[in-house]
Amino acid sequence: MTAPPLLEVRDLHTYYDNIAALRGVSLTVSEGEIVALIGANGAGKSTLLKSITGLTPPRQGEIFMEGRRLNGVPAHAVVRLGVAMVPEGRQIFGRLSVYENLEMGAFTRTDTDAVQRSFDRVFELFPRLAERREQIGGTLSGGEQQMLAIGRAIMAAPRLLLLDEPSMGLAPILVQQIFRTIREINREGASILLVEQNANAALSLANRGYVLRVGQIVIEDAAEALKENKQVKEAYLGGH
Amino acid sequence: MRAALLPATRPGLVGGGAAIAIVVLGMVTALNERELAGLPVGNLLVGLIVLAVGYRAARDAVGAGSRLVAGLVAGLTAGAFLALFMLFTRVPGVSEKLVQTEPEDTDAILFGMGAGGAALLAVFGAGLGVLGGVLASLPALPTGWLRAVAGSGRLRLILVALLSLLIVGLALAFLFGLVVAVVGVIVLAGLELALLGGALASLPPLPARLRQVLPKSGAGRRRLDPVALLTLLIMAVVLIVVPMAFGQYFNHVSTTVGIFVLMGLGLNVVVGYAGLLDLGYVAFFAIGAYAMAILSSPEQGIEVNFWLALPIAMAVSGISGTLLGIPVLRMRGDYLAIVTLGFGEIIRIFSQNLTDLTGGPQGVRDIARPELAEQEFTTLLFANPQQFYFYLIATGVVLVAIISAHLLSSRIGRAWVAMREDEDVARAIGIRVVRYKLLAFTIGAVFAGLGGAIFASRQNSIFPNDFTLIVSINVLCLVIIGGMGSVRGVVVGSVALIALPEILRELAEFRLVTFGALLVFMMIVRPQGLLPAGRSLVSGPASLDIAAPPAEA
Repeated sequence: MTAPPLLEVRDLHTYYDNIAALRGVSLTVSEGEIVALIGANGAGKSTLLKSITGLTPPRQGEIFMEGRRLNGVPAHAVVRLGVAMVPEGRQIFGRLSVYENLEMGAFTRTDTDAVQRSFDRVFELFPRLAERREQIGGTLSGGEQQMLAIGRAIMAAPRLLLLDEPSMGLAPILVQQIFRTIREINREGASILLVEQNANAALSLANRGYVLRVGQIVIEDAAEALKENKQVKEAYLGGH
Repeated sequence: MRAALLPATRPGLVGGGAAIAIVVLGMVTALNERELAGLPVGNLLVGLIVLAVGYRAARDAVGAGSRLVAGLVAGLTAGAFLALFMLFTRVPGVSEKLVQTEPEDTDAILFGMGAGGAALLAVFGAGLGVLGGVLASLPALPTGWLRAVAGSGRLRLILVALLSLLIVGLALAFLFGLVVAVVGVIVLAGLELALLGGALASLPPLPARLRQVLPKSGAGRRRLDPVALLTLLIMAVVLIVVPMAFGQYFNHVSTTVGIFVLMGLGLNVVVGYAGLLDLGYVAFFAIGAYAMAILSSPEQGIEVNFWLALPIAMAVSGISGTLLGIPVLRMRGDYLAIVTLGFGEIIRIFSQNLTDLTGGPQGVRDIARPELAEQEFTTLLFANPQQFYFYLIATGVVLVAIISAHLLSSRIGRAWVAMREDEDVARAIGIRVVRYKLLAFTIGAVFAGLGGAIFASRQNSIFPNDFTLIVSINVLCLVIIGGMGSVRGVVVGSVALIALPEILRELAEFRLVTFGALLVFMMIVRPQGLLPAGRSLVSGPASLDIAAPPAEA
């Protein structure tokens, strides 16, 4: 590997007051990759994403996006550097329409023609959203809200998309559909860091994977290998 | 049918309670000094409450028969409740406790007949309740018709054109007599036909508002909507004619309304657009007013011209808005409300105690009126100063209204809406929350500062007591009642809350009670306000030309 990875996290420590949520996490996401981050509740998965986007700034360690240091960059500026996050529990704007939600996603962009193309693309990826363009976000079904949250992130034209538990609370058939779309988004050039509890689905989609346990990376391997890993099977794949 | 009986007593009891409350407060007595179509207004109000009760009860019932019965039961309950209470007031010793009411007046509610009157009152209630039930059973025809008109550009255009003829005709007749009015109306009708004939034919049947917001790539510029244009024209004519047609008192009231509209539009930016609950908004009004006063009154020896002091006052107010914004950036909701409440009080107490600057409780006197050359042109060009202030404030209101409307549909407005809906998500999609919060506080403060500066000049002298907490509350109320986030709502809310109490002088002492009741009522019945902002706060559904799937109807 010659070029620096798209995202590089080095020895990251993040605290909530005096409680350590991340204790020396290092990982990389290369251009074009889908990387899965799996782990149990409270392992620090969401915290890692929030640390990268500047919502919970790390106390120690470094984050680089395309070689540029992200530490200390405020959340709103991280978006401009090509990182978009789909937050956990699909935090869409519940009182705004589908269209308005998407429009908000493109807030940082001024290239109107390209924004228009992003609209087209989102509606192509999620025909449901096109049908419900004027519907109020809060009245959409869970799956549609997740689509909207992903669509809104795409509107920022990110080079790195951070997804926090996109499968949460969705029926298996919807999970499949969402994951197919994630792959599609990836094919179009966005690299993806996917945080999931649904380890099976995440590892089927990803190229590589990390296992996070109480704030530390305990295993790192190719996704296929992780699926066969005995520890992983026992701890996270369970009866699946 | 029997099942409808018991639930119907509940609105009856509520309505009866409301009627008793207004009797006890003395509102009925006070209002009865006025007559409307030969009927005393106070009694009319009681009747209206019972009618509403019948309507409300009937609406929940199914089937025409049940509706009437529900209305009857509800009206009977309300009437009987009120009648029983009135009988109770005749128990010796009770009526002395009801300091707001005169025994003779309460007697009148029982038709001066005692127990027989009470029975009659209950029967009356039942009759009104049935009438309410009948109203509830009527098909909802009128609103459907209205909607059809509002939805069709063509019909709206015709309606507005006719309305304009009526208003202009009336105004001209009032001012210059019948002949001028007839000629004027004919000329205007000709103009309208010439101007709108083409527009009528080419107007697409889409509501005007939907076409206003084009996608930002928008190939063409926004086409001028004939309906909007004509409405503006009428408004302009009315605004120009009205202060001439009416006297000083009217102009005083309407300038007060205008000043509250300015404040309301400012607070609407802060609370309605950006979702920052500011309970100390009067502070910026006070700062604008004191800036104008100190700069232009001879008392401080500065004596700047009104036209110079005005922008300075706005700037000072705006800067204080930014400064207040900085410490409260991290606060949300309740905490923000409490801190801003404190800020409002601090400014008032400053104005009371900084005697060297503000004159303390004595206030500042001899605040400048606008001058032209050596003479005050309020006396040079206008019949009275109030007339001048009417035009000044009307201009200010129109400008500020246009600015606020444009702010909302701009990038700034989108950032505010995102922030209001969810601050964290707003940050995550790349919005600089800090910047936009400060911007909201600043713009809101500038608007209030403008209102304050004009207020100071109009009053000629100002005192700390002009800037109490109640002003903040009034402004917040008018924004809520008008409809948060809505420019038109602010105007309607101001008229409702500032002008109506002025017109209904008898109610003046019941102002706070009425305020409270109105707010509670609005929050239950119409929480979005009288004229709420359109559902689409950010962009209109106009942007339909973007990749609309063919399946969409």
